[in-house]
Amino acid sequence: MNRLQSLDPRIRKLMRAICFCLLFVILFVFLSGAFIPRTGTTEDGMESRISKAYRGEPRDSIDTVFIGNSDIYRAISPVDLFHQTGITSAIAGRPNKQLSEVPGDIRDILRYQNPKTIVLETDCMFSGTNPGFKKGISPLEAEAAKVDVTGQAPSKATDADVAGQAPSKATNASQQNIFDKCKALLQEGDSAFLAALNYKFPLVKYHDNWKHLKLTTFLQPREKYHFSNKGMAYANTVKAYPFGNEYMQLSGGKHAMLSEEKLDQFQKIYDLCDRNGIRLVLLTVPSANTWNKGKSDTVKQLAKKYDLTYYDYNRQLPAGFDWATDSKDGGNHLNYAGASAVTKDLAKKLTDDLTMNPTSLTKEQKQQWKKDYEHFHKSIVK
Amino acid sequence: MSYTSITFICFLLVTGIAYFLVPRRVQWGVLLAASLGFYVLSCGARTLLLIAACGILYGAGLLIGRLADGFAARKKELAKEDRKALKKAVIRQKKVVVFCAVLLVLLMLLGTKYFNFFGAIGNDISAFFGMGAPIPVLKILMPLGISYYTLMGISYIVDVYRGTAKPEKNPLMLLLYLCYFPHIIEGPFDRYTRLTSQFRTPHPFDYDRMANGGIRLIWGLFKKFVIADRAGLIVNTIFADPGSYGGSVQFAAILLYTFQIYAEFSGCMDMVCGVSQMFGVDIAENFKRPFFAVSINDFWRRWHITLGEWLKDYIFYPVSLSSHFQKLNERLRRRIKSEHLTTLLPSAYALFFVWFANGMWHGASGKYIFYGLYYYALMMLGQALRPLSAKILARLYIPRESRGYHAFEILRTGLIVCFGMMIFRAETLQQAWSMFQSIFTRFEASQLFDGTLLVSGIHASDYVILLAAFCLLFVISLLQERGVAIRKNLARQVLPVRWSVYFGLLFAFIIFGAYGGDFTNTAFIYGEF
Repeated sequence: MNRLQSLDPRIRKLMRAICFCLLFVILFVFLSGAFIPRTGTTEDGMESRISKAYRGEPRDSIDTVFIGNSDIYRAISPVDLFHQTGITSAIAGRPNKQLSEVPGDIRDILRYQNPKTIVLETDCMFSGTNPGFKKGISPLEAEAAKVDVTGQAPSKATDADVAGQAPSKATNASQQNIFDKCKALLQEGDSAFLAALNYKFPLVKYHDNWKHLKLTTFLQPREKYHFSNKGMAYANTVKAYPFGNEYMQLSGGKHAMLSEEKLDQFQKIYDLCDRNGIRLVLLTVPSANTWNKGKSDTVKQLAKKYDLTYYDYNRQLPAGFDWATDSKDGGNHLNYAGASAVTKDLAKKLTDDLTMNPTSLTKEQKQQWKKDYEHFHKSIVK
Repeated sequence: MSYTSITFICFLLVTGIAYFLVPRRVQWGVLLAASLGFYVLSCGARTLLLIAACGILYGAGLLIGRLADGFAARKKELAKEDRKALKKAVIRQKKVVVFCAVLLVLLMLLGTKYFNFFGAIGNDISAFFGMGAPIPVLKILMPLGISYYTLMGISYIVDVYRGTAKPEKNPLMLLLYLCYFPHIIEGPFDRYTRLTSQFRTPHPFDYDRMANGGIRLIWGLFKKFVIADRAGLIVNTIFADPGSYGGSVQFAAILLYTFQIYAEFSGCMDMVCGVSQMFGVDIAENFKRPFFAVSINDFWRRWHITLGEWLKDYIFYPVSLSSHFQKLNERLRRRIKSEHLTTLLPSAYALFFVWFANGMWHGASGKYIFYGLYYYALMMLGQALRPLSAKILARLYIPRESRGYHAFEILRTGLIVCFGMMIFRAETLQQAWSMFQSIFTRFEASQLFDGTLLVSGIHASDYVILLAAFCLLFVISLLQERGVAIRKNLARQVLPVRWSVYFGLLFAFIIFGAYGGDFTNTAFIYGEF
């Protein structure tokens, strides 16, 4: 104590400041653990809508990982898939996912899991070229009138906006001046920093959880995420898409083509899967506002070239699927009814066509999956 | 760049490191670079307007200085009569320069903030004469802080004209005065001499000052995020459709808005004062516990103090001291015998301009002008009825100094302010009027307890937090009102007590702040002015 007192006051103050910061970090980390939701919430599996649900699962316990943009986390329900087949899966999706990010995703997945199959949702191959359609105009009329065939679909941007990622918000880069570019860069930096902070220490993200805290939460703070939804984003809203399968008559023009750059990126994905003994499957979930025949043909050719299995649910809607009831936003994303139909059909395809067998899980792991399934269904009944 | 973003924290860190590392005589250069960077990042090419305003004021300041120097050099050689004539001529020339400079910077403000407002008036007049609407409605992006730096620029040039400030020889120093990043978004209106003398003073790193500034910054964040943004969520929902709620809920929304705007504006002032204090620059205080005010006059001496002082110095005094006003005053004194009226009428005349300008400054809308005139009318009414109220109090044997009467005055003022805030917040004057009517015609007190107030995902626990935060704010304000220097007292406590308070406040802001998730991030209300 005397020694401390005899120190130069400036050093003492510096030490005090360092101690203050250290104590702040310790408290922040401790509280972060306590504030992580114990049970599923509407945000389950979503890390600022960037799903990394596979990280929260026991090592090497996931059979299949679904990768893609918002289409995928709205269209597949891993707990239902498990319930129907015993296949364990998780979703790695985020709004406006770019194809160039997928190799990074796969590498991250391999750090935690050793999946047998990776299902790549194909809409992310065409990100940035999805046509937007005016409300109430059929896709055929819109194409004839050449209504907005560039840029993002409006509702797609909404999902991205919520995430705070919003590359779509950046509009056309060429129209931005240097100030706007700097501003966008700073905003991205802000979001990236927060996303990184939230990933490791999500006190800021879950700060509003104080309403549900109990004393036990502080005594046994959880060390990592566990998402009972496994990355699925549940929605029960219904907004019908009134034009049936018309969109599958559109050619999509140049926006339905894949550039050399995208093809190279796909090659990387294929190679990565191939090297790690992972079966790559291509999947397109129903999405009337962003998909068309042209894109479907392009992916079909790609699948043929690489000898991959490709399921396009837009060509053949899953059994029981109805555009009048199964979309949450007028044809862009699916609601839970739509997701159930897709999951049910896909479950059949995975077991029958691809002859997938579930990984043998321990009794506790199986119990946990059952619990998660029950919890998910209980929470959606609420 | 928002004061509440991560980018701003990084920006502060970088600026702080550079500020204390560079030689002390150029510290202000770091502040200028940071302020310009902040400004450019916030409004891009519109920075040119700021630079143009600075150029005009700089040139005008130099010209006035040269005229004053010229007169000082020549006056000794001249005879008394000639000296008088020259002085008159120089004053006239100085007036022309000030007039032109003020007009030019005001035109920039009018062209951006008020163009559509005056355009709409012009169109109405033209439509009245059957000439259509010739003035287009433009989408104008207002440059950041233009209302603030314009008024600060005017104060500079008028001070130079009056001789209370020396003309600035360094245009960069003037630019820093106008765009100093802590005060560019929401003020306060600092005076040129006070601020630039601090910019020129070297500031070594001072741990205590940093800690003191830091705690004030956190207190500001607490006010903004825990109180203002949480209250704002409720207020926005109710004000969006007040007709669907009873008078009681509407009144609750008015009360909440009053606290919201106070917590937000004073919170922002705490943030900017705290940040500026870290750099060794004390900027003017803008609030002095306004809800302890006993009258409207008193309220405006405690609320947005620097705006009130600006209006007093640059509108009230010039009007009161003008020859036109003096003549009017003399004429009144000759014709009216009542002493009460001879003091009331001239002040009513001069104050009209002050309150009209106050309303206009807040926004380009009739609603804001009405807001200014609302206070003007009440103030004048208060002054007019003073003899009558004195008589009533004497008859009822109520001493003005009694605690009960003091509490009544505080409550009365608070209520008047709340209704003023209703006008301020309502979308239109009609909406304000219908809300006012609802309070008296369909109060429906039951709505306060039947869950109607749980709007936009707000839980009962959010109200508990609001209440607790209000109580904390009230206790702190009460202590300050009684002369207790909270931060100084806190600094004297032992380390565990001090740190408990610091951490408590910091984590209260992080945990109970209304941000992210279901909450929407709201910009500073006064930042829009």
